Amino acid sequence: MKTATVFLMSLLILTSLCPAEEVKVEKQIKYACILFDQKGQVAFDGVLNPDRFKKWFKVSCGFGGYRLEPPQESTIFGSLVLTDGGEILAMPLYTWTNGKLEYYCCQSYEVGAPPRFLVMAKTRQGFLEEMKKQLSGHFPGE
Amino acid sequence: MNTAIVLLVSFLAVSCFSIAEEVKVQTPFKYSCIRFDQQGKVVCEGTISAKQFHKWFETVPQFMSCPPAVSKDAAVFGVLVLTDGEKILTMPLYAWHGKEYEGEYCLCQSYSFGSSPAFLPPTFMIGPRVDALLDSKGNAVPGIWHLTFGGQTATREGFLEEVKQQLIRVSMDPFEHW
Repeated sequence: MKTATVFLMSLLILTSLCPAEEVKVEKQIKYACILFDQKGQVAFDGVLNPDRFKKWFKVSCGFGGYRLEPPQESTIFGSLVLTDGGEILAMPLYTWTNGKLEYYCCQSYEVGAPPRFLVMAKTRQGFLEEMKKQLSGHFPGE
Repeated sequence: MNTAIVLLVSFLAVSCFSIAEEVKVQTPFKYSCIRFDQQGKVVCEGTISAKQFHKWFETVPQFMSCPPAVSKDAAVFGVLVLTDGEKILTMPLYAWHGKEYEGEYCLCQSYSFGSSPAFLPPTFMIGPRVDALLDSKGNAVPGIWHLTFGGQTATREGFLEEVKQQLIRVSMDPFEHW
């Protein structure tokens, strides 16, 4: 009877500890694409694997620091926000026009250390769809 | 002996549920104010409780529910983000130039018309001066506000300092019973 009690106690302690550990390990990165010009409408949201977050948003892609530079007259119409509840990363969504074509771009601000995540398109819908596609796991070249 | 085990198991189960529920309810909100015009510089960051978040960012005060509106020429130069890891709230930082005013008008407000959160506090509550923007005829334009800091003309730096101070005040919750 005593052995059974000890066994039961151990089992209970283990089961109460395991979920906490699991939550810690599998902490996902929540992201949301928010459109400021649409009264804060969430264009799309989801969760991202922490490894992918690190690879695509935290580490420089390392090929010469190339980045697209939105012109000074570009405007910010939204933001892509990523967070694990502690760290918060917000990337502006830029748009500009050259008089003929419109451009849309989402990238980090860090000059010389661009992360891999970079989306650019010539239509707003295409731009948002491409971002959504990449964030849902279809990163180019992965 | 069996009764003791049953009691122990029940106690442990209740404790586990209580702890889980407590963690769920008390997840704090992290905030971060980020400037897009300065390489993503974090102007301020900190933590407020879920209760404070609800009170200041999700509640519409009875006495002030003006529709937020900014000039068509306003540019977004940053964002205030609040999150508990699940819910994400963003409030853009706008700036624009008015005709009757030399400085910049700066605003941090929600987007929902007719449901201004309590975060933009009126003068008598928190302290900073909050003025209605005047139109070309000198009439106050509803829902358009700008902050001045310390009696100085509004600058982005002064405005952001005020945002920072107000977030600190929110975290201290000086109007807990309000």
